[in-house]
Amino acid sequence: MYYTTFHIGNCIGRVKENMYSDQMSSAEAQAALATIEKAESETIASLRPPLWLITMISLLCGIFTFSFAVTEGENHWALGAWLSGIAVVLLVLFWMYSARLLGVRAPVLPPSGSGKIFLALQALFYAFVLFVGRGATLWGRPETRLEGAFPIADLPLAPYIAAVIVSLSVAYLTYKYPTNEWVQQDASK
Amino acid sequence: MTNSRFNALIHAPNRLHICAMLSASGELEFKLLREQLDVSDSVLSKHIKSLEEAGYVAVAKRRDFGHRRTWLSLTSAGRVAYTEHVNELREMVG
Repeated sequence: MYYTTFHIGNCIGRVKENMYSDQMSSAEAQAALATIEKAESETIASLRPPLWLITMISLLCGIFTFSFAVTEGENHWALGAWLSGIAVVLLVLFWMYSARLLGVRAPVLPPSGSGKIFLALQALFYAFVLFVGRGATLWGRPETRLEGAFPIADLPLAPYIAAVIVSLSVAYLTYKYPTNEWVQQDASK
Repeated sequence: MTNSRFNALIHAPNRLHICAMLSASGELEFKLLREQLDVSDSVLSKHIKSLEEAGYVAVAKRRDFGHRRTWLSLTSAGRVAYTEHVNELREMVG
């Protein structure tokens, strides 16, 4: 049971908090849940980077994926991968800096367990797309593809498909989950 | 009926709002929370103090960009209590 302490002059008093959990109706619980959902949605909206920044980050992630897939030795795509990777890091740092000025400190790792799992799943997904994209690009060329081995057909579009998957998923996840916290949201928003 | 996970301290409207905002982010500045809740400094301070005393909220005062700023975050105990409270509300709704 909780009490709230109050001070009036030199007097200290305590009042019992409203303990109506036992009498709480499902309608009241629903209203409380609506308040929570609204507060979380408002917080997510206030933390969301501007659309131009989301677009730039997602495009650069797509360029990085494409460059990584088609890089061979020290060709120009290796430079493209480096430059796009550095640009993404700089843009994310800019976003974190501007959020901090507005009163929000975005942690590198989400504090909750569900947030960490969500981030780990994202990392696994991107690693999978990156390496499958590169593998399919290298082994899916007519001159390198082995008969009967993976992939079973020529895959000239593999780096493009990987880049589009990464770009779209980065844009969606940055828009819906800017803090990497798994927060239930209204699907219509 | 006993609601062991129902948390009366968190359930108060403003405190529920504070916990919901902090759970969706890392650290929030006192000023930002006050503007979002549309309450006075003293009202917010009182709510924060009760949450801090219960060990649910951590308060850190730091000097950023030449200004002294107060940052608030949910502690791991606060996050657990808030999550359990929300789950309890969801069970009540069914």
